[in-house]
Amino acid sequence: MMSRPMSSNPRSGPRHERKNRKAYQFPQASSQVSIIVTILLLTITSLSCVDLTQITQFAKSSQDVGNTFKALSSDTAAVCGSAATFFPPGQAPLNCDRYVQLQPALAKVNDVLFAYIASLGKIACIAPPKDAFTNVGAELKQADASISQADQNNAKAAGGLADALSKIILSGYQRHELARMIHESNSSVQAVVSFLSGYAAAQSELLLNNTWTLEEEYCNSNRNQLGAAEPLAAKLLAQKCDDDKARINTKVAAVEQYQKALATIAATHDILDKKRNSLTKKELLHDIGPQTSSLSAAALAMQKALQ
Amino acid sequence: MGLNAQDLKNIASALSALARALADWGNTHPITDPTQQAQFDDFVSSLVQASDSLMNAAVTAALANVAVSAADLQNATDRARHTLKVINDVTTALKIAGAAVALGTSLLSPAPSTVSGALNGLVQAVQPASPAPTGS
Repeated sequence: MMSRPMSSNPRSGPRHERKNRKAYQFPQASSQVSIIVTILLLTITSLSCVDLTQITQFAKSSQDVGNTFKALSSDTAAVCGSAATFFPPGQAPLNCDRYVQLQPALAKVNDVLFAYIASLGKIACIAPPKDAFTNVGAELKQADASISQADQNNAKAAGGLADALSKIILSGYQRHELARMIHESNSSVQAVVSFLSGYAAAQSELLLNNTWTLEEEYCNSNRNQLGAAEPLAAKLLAQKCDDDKARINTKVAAVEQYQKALATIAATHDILDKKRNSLTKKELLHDIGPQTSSLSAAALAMQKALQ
Repeated sequence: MGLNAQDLKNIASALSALARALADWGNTHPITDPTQQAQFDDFVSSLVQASDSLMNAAVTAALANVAVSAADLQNATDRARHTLKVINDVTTALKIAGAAVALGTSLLSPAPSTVSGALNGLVQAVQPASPAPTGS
């Protein structure tokens, strides 16, 4: 058994020993506080670690789809105008003014949807301020060189705690507002998407299909009349008809990509609504990651088709 | 009872499909008589004309129906802008608080460079919170 070593200090009576022990205990308590604050800080930081990047990425990819609609929509009046050339003589052509009149209203509905999606992305990507209070320890040392390391550590930990708390409060508000917004707007998003896909895009698709029907009829009719008498003219006409068919098919494919992208947006928003109270990084990556990739691919396909 | 947007769209699609089927038939059954060909062309184009008019009516009716939902989304976007402003204001306030703490601690120090550095930090933090000067 080890004996307690005797103090060599001549002033080490019981009174002084008590005093020394007290003086020694203070930094020990400080470091305990420091450790507790650090553990608390780590816990809070891990709790507030909500990564909403996937929502921002989803919003970003959606914007490309929304922007492409403008090109698609402005092309409609031109397609209508080209259809007029294939109407038989004496037949009134399509009323293309109606497309020109409808275009601003359709563009506005499209813009409203994508502005909403963009605002979701903006709220999701806000980052709380960094290091507002973290440097307090270093600043104290700068101001008072005699400050003890323990006090400096405490100040640093308290500063970090203040930072973490402000982050969690902001993050909580951010998540709460996102969840509320998603839930309150889900039915409107579904209705607007249904309109854009089922009416605005469907009208473009119908017009493209009708235009091809008229052109094909024109091609058949003229081919029959040209017959074998003018083989070169018949060949040139057939070539033009084939080229136009390919061009129209490409535009129809672009409209279908837009509809597909809208369906993805509606489905993703619905998933976000269902999981609005548990928007964790893992779930978002799993649920929204593939949709975001699909949106990007659709936007790219639309852009290529409309070039 | 009037037709709703969905009914109008369905009829428009049916007429378009009929015109398409006739054009396909014409493609495989050449008509040699010019008069018959003209009548056939007129019939196809009339179907396309009707299909187009009905689809326009369908879109106009559906546009009126979706107006409420579009207005709701517009309101949600406006509220989101307000939320963004609140978060930005809080972020700025935290930056100011952090800079104020730095200034407070630096005032304990006799070194003027420390004070001026902290003061600059506070000024930089306050700047985003100040309203931008309006035009002339």
